[in-house]
Amino acid sequence: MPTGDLYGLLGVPPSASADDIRLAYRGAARRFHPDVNSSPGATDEFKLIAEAYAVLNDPGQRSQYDASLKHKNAAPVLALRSLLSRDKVPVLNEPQVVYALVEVRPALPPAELPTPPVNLALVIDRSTSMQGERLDQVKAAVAQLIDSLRENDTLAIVTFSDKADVLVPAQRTAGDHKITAKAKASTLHASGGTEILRGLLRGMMELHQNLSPASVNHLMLLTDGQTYGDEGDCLLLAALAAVDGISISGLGLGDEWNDKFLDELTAATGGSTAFIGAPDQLTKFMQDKVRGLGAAFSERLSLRVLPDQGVRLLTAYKVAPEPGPLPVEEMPLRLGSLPKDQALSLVLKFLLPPITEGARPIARLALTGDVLSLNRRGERATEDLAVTAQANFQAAAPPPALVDALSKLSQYSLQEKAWQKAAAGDIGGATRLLSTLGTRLLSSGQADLAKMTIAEAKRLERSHVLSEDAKKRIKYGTRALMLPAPPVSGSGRLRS
Amino acid sequence: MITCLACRNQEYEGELFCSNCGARLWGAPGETLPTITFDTSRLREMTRPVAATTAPIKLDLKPGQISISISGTGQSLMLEGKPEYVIGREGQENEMPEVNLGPHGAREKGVSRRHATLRVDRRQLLLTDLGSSNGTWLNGAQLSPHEPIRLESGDEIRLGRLTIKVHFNL
Repeated sequence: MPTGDLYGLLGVPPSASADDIRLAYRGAARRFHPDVNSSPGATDEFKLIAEAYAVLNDPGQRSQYDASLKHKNAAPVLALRSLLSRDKVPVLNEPQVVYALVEVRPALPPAELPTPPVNLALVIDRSTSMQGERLDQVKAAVAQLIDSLRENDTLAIVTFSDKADVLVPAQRTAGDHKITAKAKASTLHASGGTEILRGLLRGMMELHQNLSPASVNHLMLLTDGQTYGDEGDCLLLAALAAVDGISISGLGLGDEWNDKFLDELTAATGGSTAFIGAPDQLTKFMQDKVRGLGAAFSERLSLRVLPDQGVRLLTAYKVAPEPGPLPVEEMPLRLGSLPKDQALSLVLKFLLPPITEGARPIARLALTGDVLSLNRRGERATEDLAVTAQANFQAAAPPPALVDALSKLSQYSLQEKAWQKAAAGDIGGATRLLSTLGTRLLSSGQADLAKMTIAEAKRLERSHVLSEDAKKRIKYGTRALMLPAPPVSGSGRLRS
Repeated sequence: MITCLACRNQEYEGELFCSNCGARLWGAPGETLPTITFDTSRLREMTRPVAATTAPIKLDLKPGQISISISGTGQSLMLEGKPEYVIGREGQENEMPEVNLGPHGAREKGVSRRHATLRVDRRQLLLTDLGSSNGTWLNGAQLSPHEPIRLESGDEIRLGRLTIKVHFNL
C-alpha cells in the first residue's frame, strides 16, 4: 500500500468526501496526464496521483490508510508554504510573470532531536599560490574544525595540487585521532598547480568509506585558484554526488578562483559557495558550516517544480539559509539542508501563457527530504500554486515579504548583468548598471557595499578592466543581503 | 508588456522590479516615480517599507498634532507645537526626551535614552534612528542609523522591542 501524503497528492484535506476525492482526482490527473503535460516528472506525478486515488477511493483501504496516519511516525515532518506576487492576475493575451516565495519549515515543534553524525571530507587546495598566510590560516582553521567535531563524526582530509593525496584517511574523530589529524594537518605545504577534479575524486572516495543515508555526507572544498580544463568533469562528479546524497560546499579564498564554476558545482548538490575575502575569516566560516551540518533538521531536500501546461519556470533562487541561484534546467532543484531554527526559502519566477478568465493552477511543488534524527527518509510535501484571472483586474500591492526578497534579488541580478556586459565588452553598459546598483544599495542603507560598487563603476570606466576582487565582494555582498537581519537579543525576529 | 518609467525598459506584465535599472514597477498611480538620479532623500522614499494593511484607525487629530500609541497598552501620547521630538527614556541627570517612553517599559524593552527623533519638515514627518543600541524598525524593516525616513500616518515603529504606532495630521 502506498504511503506518504496521499491527500496532498490529490490536493484535498483528509476530511474530504468521496465525491471531493473523485473530483480532485480528475482535476489532478488532467493536469499531469502525459498527453497534456510534457514537463519532466509529470508522468511520475500522474502515476503517484493514480496510486493515491486507488487507495482513497476504496473505503476499506482509505480507513486503513487513515488509521496508519494516526501512528506517531506518520505525521508530516516537512511543511511547505507559498506566497504569490499576485493570486489574482489580469486576463491577458500576452505572457505575464508571477513570482512565488516558497518556504520550507519543520512541521514538528523544534524538540530536542538527536543530531545525526557528520561524514565530512575536507578537500584542500595546496597549490603554490596558497603559500604563506593563506596556508597558515587554513591550518589554523582546520585544527579548530577538528576540535569542534563530535565523537561519532568522521573526517577525511584530502589535499590536492596537480595531484591529490589523502592526508588523513576517513576515520572517526574520537580522542587520539583528533591529535593525529591535527598533527598531520600542520604538515601541509604548498606546491604545484590546481586541478580540482583530482581533489574532488579523492574526497568522494573517502566519503564513500562511511557513506550512509543515516548521516550527513558533506565535502568541503577550499581553493584559491582556477581549475584548468576539468570543469565539465567536476560538474559531472557533482551530479553523481547529489545522487549519492553528498552535498558540496565551496570556500573561495582571495580573488583568483572561478566563482561561476564553484557556484554551479555546489548548487548542483544543494550546497553553496562562500567568498573568503580575508584569510582570517576562514575559521569562522568553517566552524559555522560544520555547526550547520550537524544541526540540520532535514537533509537532502529537493523540490520538483511541475508547471502546468503552457507555464514555464524561468528562474529559481534560494534566499535562505544560504543564498544562491538554482539551475532550473535540472529537476529536481537541490535545496540542501533545512536548519532547525530557520526557514528555508526560495523565489520562483513563472511565465504564464496568455490566459482567459477563471481559476487555473500554475504549478505543483513536490518537496522530498530526509529527516535523519527521526529516521524518516524520502518524506514528501506537496503544494499547488494557482491564480484566478480576472477581466476587471485591479492591481494590488504584492505581499511585503515577497517585495523584500525580490528587491534584494533585483540588486543581485543587476550586478550579475553588469559582469555579463563587461565580459561582452560593453564597458559603458556595465558602468551604468554598477552606478545604478550603487544608488539602489545606498537607498537601502547598504553604505559600504554601495561605496565599493560606485568605486568599481568609476574604476571600470577609467581602466576598462574588471577587478576580480571587487567583483567577488559585490557579488557575494549583494547575495548576503538576502539573509534575514539577525534578531535583536532577547526578542524574536520581526518579519511579516 | 509594461514599461519601466525610469529607463523605458520593457518587462512582462507582473514583473515587480526593472531588470535593467532595478526600479520598482508597481504601486498606486500618482505615486512618486522611481528615478535613477543620485538623490538620497528620494531614493529612501522609494524603498520606504510599507505598513501592514490594517483597518485605518480614525483619530480626530487637529492640524499639527502627532499621536503616538503604545502597542499592547491602549495608552497614547499627543505631541504638538515643536519642530523636533527626541524619543527615548529618562536619563540619570534629569535628561528628559520629549517623548519619554520610560513609564511604558522602555528600559526593559531595550529603548535607548536617546533612541530616535521625529522631525516635522514642512508637512512631512521624518524618523531618524540616533544610533540606538537595539535599533529602530519601520513596518518591520530596520533603519540605518542617522538616515531620516519619511513616515506615513499609521506607520508602525519598533524601538528595540517596544512597538508604537504614529498617526499625524500635518
